[in-house]
Amino acid sequence: MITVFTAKKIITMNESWPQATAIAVRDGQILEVGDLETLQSWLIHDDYVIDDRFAQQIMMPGFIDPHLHPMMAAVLLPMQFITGLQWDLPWGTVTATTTAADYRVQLELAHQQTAIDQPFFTWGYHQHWHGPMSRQLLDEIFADRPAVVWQRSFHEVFLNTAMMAQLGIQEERLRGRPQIDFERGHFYENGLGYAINKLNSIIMSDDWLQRGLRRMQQVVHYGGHTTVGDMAVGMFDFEREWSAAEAVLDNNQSPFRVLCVPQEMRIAQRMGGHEQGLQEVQTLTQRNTDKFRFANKIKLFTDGAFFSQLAMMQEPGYIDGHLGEWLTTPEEYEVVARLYWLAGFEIHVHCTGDLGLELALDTLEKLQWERPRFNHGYTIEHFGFSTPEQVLRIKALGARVSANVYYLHELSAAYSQLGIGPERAQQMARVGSCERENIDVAFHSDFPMAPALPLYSAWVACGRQNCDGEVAAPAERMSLDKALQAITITAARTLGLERETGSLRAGKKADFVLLDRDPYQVGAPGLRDIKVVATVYEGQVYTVEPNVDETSTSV
Amino acid sequence: MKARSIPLNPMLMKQAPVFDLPVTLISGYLGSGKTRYINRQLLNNSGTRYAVLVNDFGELNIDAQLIESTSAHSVSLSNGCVCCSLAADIAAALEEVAACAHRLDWVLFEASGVADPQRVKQQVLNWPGFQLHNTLTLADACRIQSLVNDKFVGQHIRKQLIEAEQLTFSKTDLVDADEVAALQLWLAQLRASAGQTPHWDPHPRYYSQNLVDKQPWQRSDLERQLQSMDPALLRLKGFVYLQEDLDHQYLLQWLPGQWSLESFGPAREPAVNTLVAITQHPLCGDILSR
Repeated sequence: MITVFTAKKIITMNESWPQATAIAVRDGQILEVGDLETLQSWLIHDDYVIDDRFAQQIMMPGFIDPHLHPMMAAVLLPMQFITGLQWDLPWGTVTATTTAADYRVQLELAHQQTAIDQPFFTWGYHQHWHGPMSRQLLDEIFADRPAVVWQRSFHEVFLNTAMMAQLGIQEERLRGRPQIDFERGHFYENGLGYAINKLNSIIMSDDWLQRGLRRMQQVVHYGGHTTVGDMAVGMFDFEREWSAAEAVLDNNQSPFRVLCVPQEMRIAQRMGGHEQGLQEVQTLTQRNTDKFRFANKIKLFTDGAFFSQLAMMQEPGYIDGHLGEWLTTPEEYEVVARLYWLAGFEIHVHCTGDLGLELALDTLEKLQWERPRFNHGYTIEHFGFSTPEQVLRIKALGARVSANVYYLHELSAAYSQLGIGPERAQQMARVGSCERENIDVAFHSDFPMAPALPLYSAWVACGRQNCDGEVAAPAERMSLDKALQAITITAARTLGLERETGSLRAGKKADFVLLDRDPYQVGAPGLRDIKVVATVYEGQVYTVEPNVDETSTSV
Repeated sequence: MKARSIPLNPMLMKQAPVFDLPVTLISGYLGSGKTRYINRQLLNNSGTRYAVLVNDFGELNIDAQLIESTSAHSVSLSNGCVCCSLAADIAAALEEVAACAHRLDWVLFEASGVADPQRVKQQVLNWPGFQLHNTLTLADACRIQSLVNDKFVGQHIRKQLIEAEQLTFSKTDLVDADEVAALQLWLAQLRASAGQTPHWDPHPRYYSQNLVDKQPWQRSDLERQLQSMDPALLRLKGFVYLQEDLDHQYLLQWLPGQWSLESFGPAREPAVNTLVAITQHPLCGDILSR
C-alpha cells in the first residue's frame, strides 16, 4: 500500500530536485518525489491512498538537532517555567514576566496550581526583571511547602526554610562560605554544588526523570524534529540514562530517532582507562534498536562552559583577567583523540573559546600528518569564539562545524560589556565565513541551553540580531539556503545519517515536517514565526497539538 | 575561647558538631610531582589521618596490603587515611569525606592544574565541612620555564606561579644547583614583573604527635590545658574518656581559637584515648601533660 502525501509546496533540500507537490511513501520509505502526475508510474502498480490533509502546508525534511541533552532537559522540564522572556513550549506559551510584583503573582498562582504535597520548583528567575529573591519571600508564599527557585543561568538557587529543613541543610555548617547566603537561602556559583548535591535526591529520582523525559519528547516533536543527537550519553550515569531514555523514548509513541554519542571522559573513568573505555564504546552498537543507535562516534571536550565564561581564550583573553579552564588537559586530549582517530571514529569535540578550538585544530593537524583520513567527520561542537584564520584551517583539515548560534542572540551584548569586548563578542558563531569557505555547518540547540526550535536558530544565523535587536557582525550572516540546510541535510551529515534522512528523495525515510508558512516566502526575518503543524516519522503522522501536557495527569 | 556544654540528651549525641577539616590545595601541571607528593604523605603519615582527594587514584599506586576496604569511589587504608576520586563527582567525594570527618585530620586536595587557581579555591571555600588551610604549588624544575610559554597551558601555569603562596620545585635532583638558583631568580623576577611580591614561602612541613593511652582524663584538668596550648599546635583531635562519664567516648577537637569536648556515642572496647596533634615544628615534650 502506497500513501501519497500532497502539500502546497515540498522543499526537498535536494539541490538537484528542489521542489515538488506530492510524495509517495511505502513502508516508511520515500518511493518518488514529484507531483500527482509523475507519481503515476508507481501508483498504477499498487494500491494507494492520497493523504491531502497537508495540501495547504509547506513540507520539508524533518528537522534534525544534532546536539542536545535529553537527560539534562529531563532534570529541568518538570519545573514550572516563570521567565523574563517568552518561552514557547508544547504545553503552553510561558508569557514574559517582567516585574517583581508580577513575578510574585506568578509564584502564588503556580503554587496553587501544582500538587501541594509535592515540593515546588521553578526555573527562569532573574533579578534583572524579578527583583530581589530570598528565603523569607519564599516562606511567605509557600509556608511549609518546600520550594526552590532556580535562576535562569542554572548557576544560582534559592531554597525556602522548609526545603532546607527537608534536605538537612544546617546554618552552622554554612557560616563563612563566600558563595552561600544562609539567611537568604541563596546558593550560587561555587556554592551551588552543595545545594544541588542535596537536591539530587529529588531531581534525579526515577519519577522526576521519567516525567522530564516525557516532556522532552514533546519538546522535540514540537520543534519539528524527526532525528536528534544525544551528544553526551553517560554524563550522569550511563546505564541509568540508557534504561530511562529507552523506556520513555524507544516506542511507537515517539516520533523521532536518537543517535547516541557517548561521553568519553565518563566511560574512561567507569572502565578504568581510555583504552578500556574504547573497548566498551566499541560494544555499544550491539544495543542498537531502530530508534536508538550508537555509531562510530565519540564526544570529547577541550575547554569549559560558554555560559560560565570558562571558554579558553587566546590573547588578550577576558577583560577582567580571569582564565577559562580546560576540561581535558591538552596533553591528554591529544592522547585520547589519537586513540579514537586510529580506531576510525568520528570525533565530536566540544570547543567554546578560540584557544579551545586551536587545540582541537592543532591536534587534528598532527593526526592528519600521522595517519591521513578523508571524510573523517571531525566536528567542532558549539563553535563559540573563533578567528578568521581558524576557519581556513577547519576547511583545510576537512573538519565540520556544529554551531550553537543562539549564543549570539542571548550573550553577544552581555559579553561585549562584561566578557571580551565588542569586537570578538559580536563575531561569535562565525558562520558566514564558514559558508564562504563551503564548510559544512549544522545548527544545534544544546537544549536545555537554548530553545530546541530549529527555525529559531536559523533566524538567528540569518539575521544575527542580539536580544537588544542590534545586528552583531553582519558580515557573518548566513544565507537562507545554507541555514535551512544546517537544520536538515547538513545536520544529517553531521550525525552520519545522510543516507537515510535529512532531504526528501527516493530511498530515504519518509521523515517530514509540515509548516504553516513557506520559509522562502517569509524570508529570513520571518523564520521564527513559522509554526510547525505536524511531523511525519517514517510515514506515520504526528500532529502537533499545542497546549497539551501529556504528563499533567501523572504529575 | 569558650568550651561548649556537654549535651546530656542521648538524642543529641550523634549530632556533636565536627570542626571543619583543614584543606591543603595542591596544584601544579601534569608531571609536576603532585601524585608523588601525595603518595609520600600517605605512606609516611606518622599518625595523621589524611583524606586524599585526587583525580585518579589508580595513579597513587597504593600498596594492596595497606588497603582495608574499597567503595565505588574511595579506598580506606589501614593507617586511617582515605583516598577519594574526584573524577566522577567532586560533590560526592567531598560529601563522602565530610561524612567521616570525625575520624580524619587533614585533607589533601589535588587541584586541576588547568583551571583558574582562584576558582579552585572557591570550590573548597564553599563546601561546608572544609576550611582552606594552605595552597601548595608544585613546579617541575626541568620543564617549568618552557611550560609558562606553552600555547595552551602557559596562562594557567604563569598564574599558578605568580599567585602561589607556597611553592616547591620538584625534580631538582635532575638539574644542578646553579640551575636551581637561576630558576629561583627567574621566578622572583616573574612575580615582580606581575606586581606580586617576589618572595614565596617554601614548602611547609607539618609534624604530628600521637597520644595513645588508657587512663581517663579528669575533665577539669584537660579543659585547663586546652585553654593554653603550645603556639606551634595547628590541630588536635581524637577520642578521649573522662573520669566523670566512663560510659561514653568524647570527641575532642582543637583549632587555634576554638575547641570542643563533646560526648560522641557509647564507650568502645577497649576504652583508649587516641589523639593526634599536628604542629608546625617538632615538639620536645608531649602536647598534653599528665
